[in-house]
Amino acid sequence: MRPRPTIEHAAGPPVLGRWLPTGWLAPLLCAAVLRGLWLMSAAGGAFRGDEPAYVGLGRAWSELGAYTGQWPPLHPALIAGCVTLFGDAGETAARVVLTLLSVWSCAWLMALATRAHSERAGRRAGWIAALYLPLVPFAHVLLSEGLAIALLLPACTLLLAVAIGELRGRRATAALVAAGFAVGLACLTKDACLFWLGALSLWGVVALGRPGASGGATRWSGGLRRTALFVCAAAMTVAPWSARASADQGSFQLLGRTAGLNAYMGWNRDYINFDHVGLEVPEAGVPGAALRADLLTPPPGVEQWPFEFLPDVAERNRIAVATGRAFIAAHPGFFLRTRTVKVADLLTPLSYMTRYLRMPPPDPAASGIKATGGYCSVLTSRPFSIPLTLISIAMVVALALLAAYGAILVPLYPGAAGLLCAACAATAPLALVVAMSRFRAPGEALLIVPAAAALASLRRPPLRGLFRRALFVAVIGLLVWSWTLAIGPTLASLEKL
Amino acid sequence: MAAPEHVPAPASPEAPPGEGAAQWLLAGALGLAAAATVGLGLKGAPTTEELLERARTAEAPRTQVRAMHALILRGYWESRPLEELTEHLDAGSDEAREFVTRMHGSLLRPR
Repeated sequence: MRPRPTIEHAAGPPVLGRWLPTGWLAPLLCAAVLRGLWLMSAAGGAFRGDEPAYVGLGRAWSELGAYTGQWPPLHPALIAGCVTLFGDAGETAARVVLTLLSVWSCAWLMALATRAHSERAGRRAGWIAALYLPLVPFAHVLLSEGLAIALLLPACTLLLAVAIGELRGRRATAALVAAGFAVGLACLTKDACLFWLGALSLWGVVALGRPGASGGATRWSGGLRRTALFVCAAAMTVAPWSARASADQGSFQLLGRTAGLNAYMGWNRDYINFDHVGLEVPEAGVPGAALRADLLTPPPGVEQWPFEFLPDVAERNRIAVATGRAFIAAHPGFFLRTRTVKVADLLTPLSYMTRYLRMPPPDPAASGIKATGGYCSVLTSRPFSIPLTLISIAMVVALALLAAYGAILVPLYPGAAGLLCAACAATAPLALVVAMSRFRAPGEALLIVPAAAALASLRRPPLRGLFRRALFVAVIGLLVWSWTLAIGPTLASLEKL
Repeated sequence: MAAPEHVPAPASPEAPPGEGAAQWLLAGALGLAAAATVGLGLKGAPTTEELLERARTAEAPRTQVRAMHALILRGYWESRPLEELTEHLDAGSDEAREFVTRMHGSLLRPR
């Protein structure tokens, strides 16, 4: 009879007095060196995408004294602070800060994996995080994802530490407030982090109500109480900005004012995916291409609904969202059909690493666009860009497979598997609007935890149970389906190198 | 058997006495403070006329910039003739003029 697989720490939560064990130094050093190399390869100014807009907002804030953007303010505040302190070198300084924050995120991933599974998993998580190329651009390109990840990972770690009973009493109370504060700051970095607040709250009602790590019965009152504290701390963090934005607008504004634009792009006829900028995606000739084209082809008579440019920004947003919802109501079949492609877009093997490797710095005189930056000519030369692109694609595939195995078939601490479900639940709604690899970045970072648990448990038999096996097969099926639909864009990306 | 690196912690599932009440109180205080902050922000929202006044006469250039930004968010200048906007900018600070030119140049084109 095969022995029943047991979690290494089934007897109770690990005593983790050392929050920075010596075994963590090597992966953190590796992460710093790798990110430093890529940082030095970023040449010529702002990268294509939203970076020029973020840099413009940060510079304007520093020079004019007031924030005048429509995105949440924290990431522009980081750039503005760097510009104020370092002047012309402010953008470079902000890139260095993001790089340091990325190393900080690696450390928190190790802490999280240690609490979810074991110290061995923690070290594995450090190495995966250090070497995982698809997330490296967010360590120096001035997009908001790097900052959001650096705030969400400590919050998740603190919440899990409370859930497994490692932090108790006043320390648990302080951890819940700190986690709420961090998630609130993440919401002030990216609107989409509100999904994280919602998903973590649902998870918290169950996981934070368990008495310690024993996995005993949930006490709903305890879960509700701790979750309420976490949510109220997040609300208090967001409130000053909401008050200011509401005062400026003259009506209630929670965070940013760009939901309408996303609704216009995501809930309409035309297909948009910024991972595919500059690509000629084949519609036949490769597996999945024809199916993808069919799924995206609108039925006869379906037109692109126009964007009504109302002068009042809040009203413009409200009407845009209402128009998007009306489009869904008018074409529910087309909407559902295109969501299958959006799910594939969210799980695509492409990433911002592959995007920037195929894009040399643009010539501003020729292109007329604000972005003038990109990776240097060595990184974008074929001897480097082709193997690095292939490695990046393989890393996404490997991480997804390992994470599926680790989350479903490896015993994790009570609460840890739920936390991963919360991360997926916080990322999945993006497929309902605009999906691309950049938006999945925070959830992608968290997938390193179950992947590390899988690597730490390779010699142990997987968990049994029909439901677990069926779920694992279903997840693998979803991944294979998504990657089949992504073959066309992936080949088009490789052809661009 | 637990791996050596994992030292079992003493099991004490019960919360310390008073922890529940303290957490409810703290949550309530934070929630109330958040609601009050947003409420104050909404209640103190300036009218369009007040914003116009601030954008023209405020001593601090950053207050002028913020007032101009609020007017743009509310769509005020979209429905006004270009001349009115340029006159307003001429009477304001360099920062306010710089802000509109740099961040909202489309407002300055003939509409």
